[in-house]
Amino acid sequence: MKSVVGAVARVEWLSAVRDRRALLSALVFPLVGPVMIGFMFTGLARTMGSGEAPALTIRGGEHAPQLMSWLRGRGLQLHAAPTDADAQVRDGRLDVLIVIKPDFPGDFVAGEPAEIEVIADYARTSSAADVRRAQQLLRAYSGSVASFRLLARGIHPNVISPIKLSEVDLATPQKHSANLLTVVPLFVILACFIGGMQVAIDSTAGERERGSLEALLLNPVPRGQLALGKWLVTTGFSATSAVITLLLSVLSLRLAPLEELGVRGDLGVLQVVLIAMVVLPLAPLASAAQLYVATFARSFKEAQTWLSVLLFLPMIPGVIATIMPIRPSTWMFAVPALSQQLLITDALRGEFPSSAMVVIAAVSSFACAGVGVWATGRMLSRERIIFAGQ
Amino acid sequence: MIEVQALAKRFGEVHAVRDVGFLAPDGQVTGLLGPNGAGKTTAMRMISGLLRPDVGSVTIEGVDVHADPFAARRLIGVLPDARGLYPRLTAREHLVYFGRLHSVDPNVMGERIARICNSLDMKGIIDRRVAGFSQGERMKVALARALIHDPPCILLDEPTNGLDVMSTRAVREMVRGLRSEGRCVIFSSHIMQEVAALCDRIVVIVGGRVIQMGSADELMAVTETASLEDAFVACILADQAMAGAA
Repeated sequence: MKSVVGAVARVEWLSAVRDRRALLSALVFPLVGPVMIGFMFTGLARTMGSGEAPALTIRGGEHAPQLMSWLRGRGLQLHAAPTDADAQVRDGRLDVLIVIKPDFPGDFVAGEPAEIEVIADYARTSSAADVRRAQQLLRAYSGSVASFRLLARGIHPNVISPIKLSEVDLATPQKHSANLLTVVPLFVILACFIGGMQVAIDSTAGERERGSLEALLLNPVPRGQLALGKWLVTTGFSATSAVITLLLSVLSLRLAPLEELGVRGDLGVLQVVLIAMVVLPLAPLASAAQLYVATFARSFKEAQTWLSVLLFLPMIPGVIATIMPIRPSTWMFAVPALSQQLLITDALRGEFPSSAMVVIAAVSSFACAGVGVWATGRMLSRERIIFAGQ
Repeated sequence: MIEVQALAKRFGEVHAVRDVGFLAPDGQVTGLLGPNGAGKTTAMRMISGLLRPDVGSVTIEGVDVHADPFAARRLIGVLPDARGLYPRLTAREHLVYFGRLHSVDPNVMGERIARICNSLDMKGIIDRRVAGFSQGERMKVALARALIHDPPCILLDEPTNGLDVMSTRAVREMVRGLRSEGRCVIFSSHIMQEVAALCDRIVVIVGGRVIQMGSADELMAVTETASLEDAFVACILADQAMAGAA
């Protein structure tokens, strides 16, 4: 039996490594996730806007010299607005424009609410952070002026703030970053499915399409062993792809400016090993499922269609988890893909899932993979499948 | 020796094979002759054990194909209807693959590949990848692959289909060689000249039934015709007349 499985695996391996399409899907997809992660976090850090010295563009600053010096005291650089400042805001060259009207000093001195306009495109998310900062600064100034006025009248400023809100955040910085990091497991899980896809198709539907299946099945070999050999190679591609994705993601997170986001995103060695242990059992399962489905397909193209549909299955738990947070219970750890999602999310939050759950997840994945390989072997014995499309 | 008894196979409403039975002795080439769609390929697939007959049985060297398929498959080499190759493997890798699936002793493998390579004149292509091969070269690889386990019985489903003159001649030489080695060869074709030139015994299959059997001379005598072509046409017409009457 060993030699038969070995012979099948060797041939499928040779065919796959000589197939540019198979290599591309196994080796290029792993680059996509990490590169996206890198761009995403870098972009995020930029919108949070912390790098450069803060600046404000102001029109009519001469009407409120006190405000100007207060702002300068806060370390802000103040620019006088160019004449086309409104147009610049409209087409995105400028994020916020502060406008102080000529009647500001009159109202201010009279004790009437003096108006300051904060002009921005409020639909543009990239300027949201700057707008928020400008608003906060102006409110703070307004608050300090109010306090002085109260004090001048002999009233303690606390009178107008009966309640003090303070946010006590129990989430560790890691938990915050976990929300951002859930894309990592998603990419690794997808890599399990994409890495072996071409190999799975080529060794089943491809074998039939090029007419080599009939000759193969004429050998005195149990069909289950043929399926087993094909599965081993598919799993190899799938697992390799997943490991590369994981390692590159870790590297990408190392390079991303996470500190600027106030996020701890660097994964420890232990976490990476844990994630690998959790995700890798998904590779044999994904491969078995793909072989089974592709064996049904009459042609290479039909198999590709079915396997792309199959690709959405592992994403379902992740999507549901983002829409409505699920409270994990034991049975969920026996559902492949869902269990991996839960366990990885835990690992990313810096919590170590119980080893029992890791084992349950792995065992259930391997068991389902076994069923898939067995069923594929059975399928290859069906006349209808062998001669499908004839 | 291959013994085929009263095979019948139905796919849904289609009776692909109704009644096919014959004996293929060792050291002879038995030709299955029939028009396209007569049921030759379906019969071949039942003989090789890929399809299970609804009725009837096949024994190869006394081994029942459907009771003990693995033992039977070791005794036959099959060139099936679909003879696709793996485009990214070399000819030699094909032979080693099928040799290993047939548990050919690794010590014997090299020598056997060399011998087959010699008799099919494949030396120039043995270590090249199959992707760019001509029809004739592909056929050689497929034939070699069927012979790698040195089987006593050989099943060839329309082996000269789509081949040019030179390749066809090479296949014929090959079949004669197999016969002279005392093997049992079954050869299916819809081309009479080919069957006439090669086969010791001819089994005429029309409409899923064996309607005549014998040597070329015997067939001509029975149908009172002067050539095998006329005999073949007479068989087909007789069958159509029977079908019309029924």
